[in-house]
Amino acid sequence: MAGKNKSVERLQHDLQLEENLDQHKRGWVIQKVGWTILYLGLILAAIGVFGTGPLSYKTQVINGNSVEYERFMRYEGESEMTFHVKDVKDSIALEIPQQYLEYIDVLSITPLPDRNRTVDGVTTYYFPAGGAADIHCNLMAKKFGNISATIKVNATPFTIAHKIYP
Amino acid sequence: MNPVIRGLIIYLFLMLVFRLSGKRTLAQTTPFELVLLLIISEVTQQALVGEDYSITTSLILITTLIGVDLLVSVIKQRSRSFEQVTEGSPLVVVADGKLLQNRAVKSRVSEEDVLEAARNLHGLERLDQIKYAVLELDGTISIIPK
Repeated sequence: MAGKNKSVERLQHDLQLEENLDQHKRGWVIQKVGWTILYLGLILAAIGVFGTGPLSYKTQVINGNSVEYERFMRYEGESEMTFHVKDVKDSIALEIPQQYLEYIDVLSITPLPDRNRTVDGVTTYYFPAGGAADIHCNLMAKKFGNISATIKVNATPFTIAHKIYP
Repeated sequence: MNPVIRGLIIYLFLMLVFRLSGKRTLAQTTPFELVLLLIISEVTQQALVGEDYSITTSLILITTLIGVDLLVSVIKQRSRSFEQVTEGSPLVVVADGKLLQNRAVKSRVSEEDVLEAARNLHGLERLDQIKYAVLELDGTISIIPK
């Protein structure tokens, strides 16, 4: 029975064709390995290793303030970074180093900042606020590679690291 | 990213994926597979072009894809082993009216596929009327009647 005997049938035929059975056998093995890698890649993608998934989302909490962002981003792909700030007296200062902005484009910030200024390679956005407030930044990766930068919210430093895929 | 690099990566990735998926994948285009092909082409187009819809990018990409394909075909012509790696070789799946089970299973050809090809190509009615059935490089099945 074919089901019991898994060896591939050797055949003598009078067809003028180059069958190369050994290469077929190698090909079937490589195919299986390829499928395994393919499905492994799919699983990794589903859990967020290539962005947008549970493994990609990261939250940091320092001094009661927190930030949620994606560790893994894709080139020209959009992503969101949200800062949750508590005990705000009258304003929030969000300091983003230019080095970060070389890799990441800030497409929009909600709420809109009151003003901004750039001093010594750091762009600071000022928001009038009180109590607890959230700042949502809509980002787009404009270069691929690894970027790590310290973003400060009211002097609370968050080290944000992204791996940006091509 | 440079459009030439994009074009090269997409070309090589598609070549690898279609080679790994086997000859039978998309060999016979069912309506669903046609839709699948259209979706793949749409996704590929987005990855190739990105946000840049300029004529220059289109021309670079077309030249890249045609250039790589030309290069691959020249290498295939000169190197038999490269051709066998990239395209494989034909495989006999039926001999003297009998389905070669292990060959058929491994290359994902069913008895029904062979009978369908036999009916379409030669109007044959049964497997025992087939001398040879060969799975060709493009995934189609050719039939040699007895």
